[in-house]
Amino acid sequence: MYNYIIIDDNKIDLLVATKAIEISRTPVGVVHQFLGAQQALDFIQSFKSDIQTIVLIDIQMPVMNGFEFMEAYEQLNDSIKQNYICSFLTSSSNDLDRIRAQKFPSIKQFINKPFTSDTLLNLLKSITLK
Amino acid sequence: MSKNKIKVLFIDDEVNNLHAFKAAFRFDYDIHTSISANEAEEWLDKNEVDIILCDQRMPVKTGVEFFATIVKKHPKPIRILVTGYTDIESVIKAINLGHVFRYINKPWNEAEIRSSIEEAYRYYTQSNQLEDKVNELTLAYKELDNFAYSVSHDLKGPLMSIMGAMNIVNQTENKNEPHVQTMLQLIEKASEQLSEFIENMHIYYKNNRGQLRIEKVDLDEIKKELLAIHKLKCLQENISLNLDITNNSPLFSTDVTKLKVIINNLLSNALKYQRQSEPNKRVDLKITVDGEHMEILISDNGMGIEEQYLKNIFNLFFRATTEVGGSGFGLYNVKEIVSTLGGTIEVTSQINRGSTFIVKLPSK
Repeated sequence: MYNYIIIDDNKIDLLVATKAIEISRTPVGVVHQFLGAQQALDFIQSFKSDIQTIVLIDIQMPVMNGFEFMEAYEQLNDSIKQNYICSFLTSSSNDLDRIRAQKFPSIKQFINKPFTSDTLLNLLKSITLK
Repeated sequence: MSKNKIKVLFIDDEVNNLHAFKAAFRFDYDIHTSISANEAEEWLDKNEVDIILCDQRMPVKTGVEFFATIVKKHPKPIRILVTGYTDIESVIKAINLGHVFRYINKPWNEAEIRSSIEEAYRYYTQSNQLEDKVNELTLAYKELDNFAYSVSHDLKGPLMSIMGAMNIVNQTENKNEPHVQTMLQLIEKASEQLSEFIENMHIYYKNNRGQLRIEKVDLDEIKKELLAIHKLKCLQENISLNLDITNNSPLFSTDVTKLKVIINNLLSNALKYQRQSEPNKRVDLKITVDGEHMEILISDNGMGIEEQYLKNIFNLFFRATTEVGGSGFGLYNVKEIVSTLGGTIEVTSQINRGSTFIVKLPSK
């Protein structure tokens, strides 16, 4: 079973991703939604959970974008990071974004929107393989 | 020829030649003379010149050597070599090392110098214009790249939302489940976002290309339109909208369509960036026209803007908050239009207290 953190400045996409997780028929714990990356970062630093949490991060966001979020995230203690599995979830098809995403060791996947149950199943498969 | 005289530097080791040159051309050109290559080099470091004429036979440094040394540091001025010796060797050197434009025989005559200078200057302006154009285009391409990146993201965003929601609807066998209805509403919202974005892009494009259509401003009509557009939102969200519009100068003219874009954008922002916790949500719009000047003041007691973001809010695609969705087009368009109309825009804001925008426009 996984918990989820979804970070997206677009409310619609938050709801769509949450629903896609719900109807995926996979075991789901809690789904946390964040409109801003900073709030998600604060949450990760203060929240203690033993359940593995999948983090889906949009890239283009105001105030703190997905890359800035990951830069801050990579600085966190390994004891925190071991509970999280991060992936970008973006509508960007820009190659530069994809290349830039590879620089973050904690990024498991670069997922293109739309986020569907199938996308989720693929992500889970790649996580269990590793 | 333009009002500005062509700037000419003349170098010769004989002081009489310098005097003669200055006497012949000082009315037509802005002339500086140097007695040696070294002196000319020093002068060039501090001054700009269009055309350089240099004598070939000089002690210490010849004309060709001089041109060869300055060509890297000062590539722009056009170089003309003046010499009494027509040996082919120095001509070849002059062309290969000094990149000279012309070669003039000594003793020179006024007409030849004059025509050489005029021709060199034409070449000078053409090649400089070309360089300016290249720089301009390079910049425009770069801007276009950024623009295309942001626009494709903003156009694709809502479409991906729609596709995601559609996917959920399609995967749900029983279409009567309540979340199907929710997804359909999301699809509608995303479509509205898309449509609004395209509308804003259209305004952006039109302001860049279109010509002004100056008419007399009918503020009563604008007031009616504003109420028609924004009344529903005010009622739904319980915001009191106070319009105070006075026109003391019925002849005030500007591009009315653009004026409406300014007011509508600022007004929808004021209505949009409210605080839900505020019991007395309020937006004031005050338009005063006095003689040749119009002042539009829009203030609210909403979210306000953090001080660190104030300087960026007029930038294209900049957004200062995740609380409320936006395209990052609105205030950029407003600022561009205000400056197209020859006006100014100012903003003061305090976080959690509200913002005030003041636009001042001249009559056109």
